[in-house]
Amino acid sequence: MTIQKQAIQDVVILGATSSGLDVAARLGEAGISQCQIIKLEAQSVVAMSRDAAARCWQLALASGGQICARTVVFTSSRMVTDLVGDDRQSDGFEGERIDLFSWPQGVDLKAKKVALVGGGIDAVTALPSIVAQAESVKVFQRKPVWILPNSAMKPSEVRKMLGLVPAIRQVVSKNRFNSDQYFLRHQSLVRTIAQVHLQCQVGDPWIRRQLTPNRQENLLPLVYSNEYYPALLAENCKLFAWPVVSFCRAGVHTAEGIEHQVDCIVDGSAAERLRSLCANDVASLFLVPNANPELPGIENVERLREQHIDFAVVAVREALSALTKPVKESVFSRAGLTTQD
Amino acid sequence: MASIDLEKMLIKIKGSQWALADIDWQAPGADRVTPEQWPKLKAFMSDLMWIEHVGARGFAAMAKKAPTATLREIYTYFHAEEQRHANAEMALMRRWGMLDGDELPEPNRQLRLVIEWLDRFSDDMPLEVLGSVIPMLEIALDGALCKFLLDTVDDPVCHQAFELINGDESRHLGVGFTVLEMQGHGEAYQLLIKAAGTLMRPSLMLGILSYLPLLNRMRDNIVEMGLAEESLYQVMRKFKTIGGRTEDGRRNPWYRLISYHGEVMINRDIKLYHRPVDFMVQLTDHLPRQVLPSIPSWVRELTWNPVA
Repeated sequence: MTIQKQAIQDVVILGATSSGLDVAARLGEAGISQCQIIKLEAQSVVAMSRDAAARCWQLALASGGQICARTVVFTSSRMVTDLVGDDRQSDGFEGERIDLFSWPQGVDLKAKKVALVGGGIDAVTALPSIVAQAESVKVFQRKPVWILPNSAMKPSEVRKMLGLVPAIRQVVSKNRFNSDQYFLRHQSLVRTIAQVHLQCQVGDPWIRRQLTPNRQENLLPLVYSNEYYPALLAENCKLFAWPVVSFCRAGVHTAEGIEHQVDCIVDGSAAERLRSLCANDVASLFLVPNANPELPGIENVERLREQHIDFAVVAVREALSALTKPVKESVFSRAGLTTQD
Repeated sequence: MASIDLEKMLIKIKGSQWALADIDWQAPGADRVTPEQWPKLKAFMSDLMWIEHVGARGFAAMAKKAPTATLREIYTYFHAEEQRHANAEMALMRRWGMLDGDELPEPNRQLRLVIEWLDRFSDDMPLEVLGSVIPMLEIALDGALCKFLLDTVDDPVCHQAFELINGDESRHLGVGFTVLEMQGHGEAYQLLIKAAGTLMRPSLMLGILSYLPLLNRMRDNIVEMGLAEESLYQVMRKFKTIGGRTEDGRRNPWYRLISYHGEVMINRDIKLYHRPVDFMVQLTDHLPRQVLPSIPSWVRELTWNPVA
């Protein structure tokens, strides 16, 4: 194979989804036009590797072509198994199986026993409406996440409101203000708010312990939900923190030796692995969930999506300036975030 | 013997998971438990199951404290595995007709106090405290109790279950002793001062106060069942030999303390220790039900049923 010299793209967006197009449009407004969108239906990415010398990502396409990009924005989890791998042993599940990130059309969970496996913050946004539909839900949590209480305002509304104050109008209008960025600089504040939120909503100390993340965990991306904890504590919902061993014929086999029998598995592990991939390289990989109207908890997802787009646009700009000018302190280093696990 | 590679161990742990459904709990052989054995066996199994469950909670606390992500994940698995052992032992008890319906076996009062202490304080304990007590309990379970059980009970299902359980326990011991050695790394006087500081904690003192009578009570229970005291000596020697095989291990003050305490515990001639502790056993036995702490909710996750 011949190695051809090719131009390095600033941004590659994987998936020509509505989120992908939104990010591209917003990046254009922000003055970043060197941006390529890859339609995953037309060409698929088979491998991705980091080129440390050129400070970019090499993406190999199924058609044989290659793309170089400084930053990558994911809007779909379709390629994640190829990239990150699947560490689950056997999979002989015979019931219905749904990928949390790419929710198919026309799914009906009524009168079904559902297992929600992994999923991190995507599971947080989806759980309330799954619980509202299904007969019973078992949540198999891999790692808990900090959840902030949800104010009624969207990030864009916050910006609009702050724009009314003359002194900060200029800052806000330049799109510099981002609540995530602010929180990143005050991580202990975020933890305290999330802890108080958890304390108020969950009474049982053991469940609260299971829902408390380790201190070492990344805070990003922040998730806001008032409905998650009540949904988790609902009559028809139960939380398990045991590691999942495999999907067996009738359900989920967990490490405490029990087979949890269900009709349908909502699998969040692809989304979660993609997120951890992005969290390990907060400076150049970003994830924006897609607003599929079929997805449960669409209002929450819409909000989360907007937040992600905001974050991605600001972070891509930061990352690009850091990657092109070597000695510049970026928002991540100031916030004490490292790129290791 | 060199320490084990924790990364490889984690892969091995993930590859050797089993389920309660792998065992046919209805298979013939349940009648091989003799009527004379039955009441003592019931008490023994109930204690054994609760010790496993207490160990599970200990691993849960260690999973919060572990210094690396690999060790955290290993302890998360160990937590689940101990729970699985307790579940499997409950399934055995059910097979032998020792459980009424869905009821949990009653924990004795010393166990109730230890459960309460674990629930309240274990998450704040430094890793080296639980990291040295747990290998001791594991080795006692593995080397004396389970061996004794298999020698006296003839039921093939019991043997099948404990073969799987012992396989898990050997991995727990391997990791346990590796961590014990890891924590003996450093200057001896620093380790000693740190350990002395930890020992001054009121919460740890309460823990010791609930741990000592439990051990004496367990010793009485199993000796009453017919276990030779000699096998307990062997266990203590084994802990001392394996824990002290490297310089790092020997330097760990917690290893020294636990193995010294083990020697004292099995030597009934040391009246200065056994008189007061036996008195504490009697005292806790007479605690009125009303003052016993309520059972935390994690206990209710135990089940004998292989499917849920």
